[in-house]
Amino acid sequence: MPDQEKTSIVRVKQIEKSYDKVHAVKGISFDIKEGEFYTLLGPSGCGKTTTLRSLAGLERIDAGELFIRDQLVDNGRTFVPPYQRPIGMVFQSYAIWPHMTVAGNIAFPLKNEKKYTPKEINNMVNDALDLVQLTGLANRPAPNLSGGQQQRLALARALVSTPTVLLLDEPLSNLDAKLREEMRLELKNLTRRVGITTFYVTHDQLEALVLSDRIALMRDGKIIEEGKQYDMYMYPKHSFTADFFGINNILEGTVTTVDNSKGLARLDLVSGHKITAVTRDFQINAGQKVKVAIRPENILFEKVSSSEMFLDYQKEDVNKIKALVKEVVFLGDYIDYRVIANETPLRVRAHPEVLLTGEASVTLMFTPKHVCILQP
Amino acid sequence: MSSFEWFKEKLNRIFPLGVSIVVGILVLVPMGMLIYSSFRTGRPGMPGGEFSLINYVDAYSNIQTYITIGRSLYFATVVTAVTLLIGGFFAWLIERTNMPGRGFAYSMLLSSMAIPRMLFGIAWILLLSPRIGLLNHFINTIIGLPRFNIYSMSGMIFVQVLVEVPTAFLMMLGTLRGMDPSLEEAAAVSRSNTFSTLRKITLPIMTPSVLAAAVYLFIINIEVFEIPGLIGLPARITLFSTAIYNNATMLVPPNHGLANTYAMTFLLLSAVLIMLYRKATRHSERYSTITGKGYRPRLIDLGPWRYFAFFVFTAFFIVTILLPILILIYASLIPLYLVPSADVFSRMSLENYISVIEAPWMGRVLKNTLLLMVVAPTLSVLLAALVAWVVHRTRISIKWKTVIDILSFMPTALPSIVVALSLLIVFLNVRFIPLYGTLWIIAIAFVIRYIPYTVRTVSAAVIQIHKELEESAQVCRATEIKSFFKITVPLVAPAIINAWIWVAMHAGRALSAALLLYSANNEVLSTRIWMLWFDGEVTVVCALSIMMIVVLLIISFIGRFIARIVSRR
Repeated sequence: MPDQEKTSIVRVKQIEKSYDKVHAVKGISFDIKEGEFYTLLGPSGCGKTTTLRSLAGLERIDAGELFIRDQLVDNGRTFVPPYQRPIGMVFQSYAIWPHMTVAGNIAFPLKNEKKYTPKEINNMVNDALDLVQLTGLANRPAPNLSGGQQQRLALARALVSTPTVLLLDEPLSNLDAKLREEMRLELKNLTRRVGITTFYVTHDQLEALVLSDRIALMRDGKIIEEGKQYDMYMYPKHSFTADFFGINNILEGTVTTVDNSKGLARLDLVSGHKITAVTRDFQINAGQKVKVAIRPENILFEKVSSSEMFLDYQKEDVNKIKALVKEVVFLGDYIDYRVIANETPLRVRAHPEVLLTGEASVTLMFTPKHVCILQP
Repeated sequence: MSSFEWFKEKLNRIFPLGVSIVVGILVLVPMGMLIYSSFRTGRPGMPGGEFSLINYVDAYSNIQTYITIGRSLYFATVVTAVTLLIGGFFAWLIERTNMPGRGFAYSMLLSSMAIPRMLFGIAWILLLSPRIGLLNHFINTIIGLPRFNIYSMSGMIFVQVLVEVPTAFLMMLGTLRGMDPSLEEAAAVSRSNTFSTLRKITLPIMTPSVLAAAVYLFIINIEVFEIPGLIGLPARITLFSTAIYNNATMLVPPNHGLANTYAMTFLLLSAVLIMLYRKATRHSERYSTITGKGYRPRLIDLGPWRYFAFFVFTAFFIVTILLPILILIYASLIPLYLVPSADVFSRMSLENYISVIEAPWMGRVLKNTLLLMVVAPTLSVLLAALVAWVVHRTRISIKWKTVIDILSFMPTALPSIVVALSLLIVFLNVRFIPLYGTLWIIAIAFVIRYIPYTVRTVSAAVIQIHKELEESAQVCRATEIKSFFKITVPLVAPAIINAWIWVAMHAGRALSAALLLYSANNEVLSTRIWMLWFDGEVTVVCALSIMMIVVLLIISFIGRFIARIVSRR
């Protein structure tokens, strides 16, 4: 997708926000392109919700600039109140008004715009209901809907006035696990079908991966790393990103040689192993101390694993390390092996068919591509 | 942004400030004026006068002041203790035992609260006055015991206890209901018998909330005016409230300075009590034991005693509610208050009612009463909604919220008669606002007096409403104020209506404030009854009293009906 050519719908520039003594957002910046699904991901209290609420106009920023389609909506002095911003929003609690019907909830924003006739409103409400598959429930009292239906109603209400940007504040966190999985996919399909620019906030990495085009990972009021959803998962650049997306093997070492023509670097790990890694788009030099991350599912056991499936593992430059199995944790869809290599604990995630016993001697294999050198 | 939108934006910012200023003026100006003029000689609103401590010197060099203080404290202490015991016992019977007819007993106790205190006072005088008291007549002529003199301290205490038991009952019921029965059950399975559980678990856990109830009742009993006024004034036994009334209105010329000094003492005392109350309730949070509802504790089996308990209850009901109402009805039907006899019964008629209805003042008094019962609660509730909005929904600093919180709690320490006195002084001084002698001044007194109650009620309801409901309205193109009034207010409507009914009922019956601010223009039912009573129009007063009860009941029924419709919607 040629992102650079698309126009930015949302522009966030160096925004700052403090409450009493807490510095919630510390100068973060990002752009959201037209039609893009952009997610702020991070642990609770990282400032992601504050950022979303600032964009909605429910909070006022202290400094920086917020633009929605080239209109300055907040810079700490000029402030466009929420009711004048071209946004739709779904709240964590859905915020369905219990004293209104389903139709009453959806019609509320249309009525406030004061430019539609009752007939037009009626049609738009019905279209919105069709869109979220609530057809025929218009006259139901809103509290009589199930959790999933309330979620859809909240979406319909947010979309009915065709906003420029849709804001979603952890909308799936109140659903049970099964329903959440369903709604996740439905939300993805709906936003892509409507083609709306979406800004999403969540602490759930899986949600972020399923839904987003791009993800920004936040911590302590700052964006740590931003990138396409696949890259963030597979090739993190920051140790926090690696950790957040569940890479348990983070090792330290020193760069010995860098071969830029092949795009490979040789490393001496603190554990005593010598391994090969692909270089990244940032500069590294021989002699530099670095950290590397290896996903546990990218490590195979030599001979035991059906390594024929992975051609890369048969190349010359594949890394091999001898290790001892310490613990076998059967988790159903995979087995979590805790192994020791030269006194360094490592974790390997293997297919349930790959069954080893404790104290077994093994050789671990991983390709240079899967050794992510982290940005110092 | 257009200039109109700029204005709207500014309004959104200024509004919270405006609301706080209104609350501040309502609470602080009368209090400030009270303090200010207690240090001045001369009459309020009149030229002359200077700063001096003479009012305090006058008051506290007089032995009578100490007697009044001592008497008030004695009265309030005894009444509080006895009502707590009786109310607590009834609450325990209804909530924790298998006494028959518990639901009936509960509604009986509650219904008696709809009858104004003043009318109970009148009824008990008709029953126990040494000269005309019917009960005294029977005690004396039939049983042969000496007559009981209601015009005494013990007479006042007796009537006040009977009047205040339902309030004590309700507070103790709340305490009992708030207690987690599993705490007692845990004691029971820990080899503790019923008695030691009561002593070592139930009572210690209940102590803070019982203490809070005691302080609350004590404040009511020290500020009460009706019973000390009806019984104590003729008997020349003055308490705090009647002393203020005497000095501010009965003396010619009135001694505002002295009334003022009494009010200041009163204020100080209730401020101390309020602080105790806050401490007691804060402490009680540590014991917070409210658990999921629908968990009824095991009922204690009273065995055959449960019929005796029911008998006690019924006897209490007959004596304290049925008897007073019957005596009022009886007296309202006869031309002259006499012991029942064939002759008296033959002369029964609706003459008193007709004379009341046809009286030239009736239209005005009724109109004033109804107007007051609409204006005071409406203003109160509107103010409470705005305060709740500012405190819970706008982005003002915590400090500012605390200020508003304290301001709206302060009138708890302001007895009605003190509020009335301070408003009197304010509007005697501030002549350019011509409210002196109007109905509005009474309405303002009630608004101030009931700010703590209405703000607490409405705020508690607003807190229950998730803030996101309003924020989503803002995102849906509704302004902040519109969001509050379109979303939150309809959702808290039942609470608002309940608060409205509560204030309306209190405004309709309250005597002391209306009496202190009384003029020919702002006469209401309660003040007219008071005047007629002291004019000796006993039977006419009874007819008017019965009509007043009916009016209050009708209004409360209408209110409850509306509340039910709204909450069902």
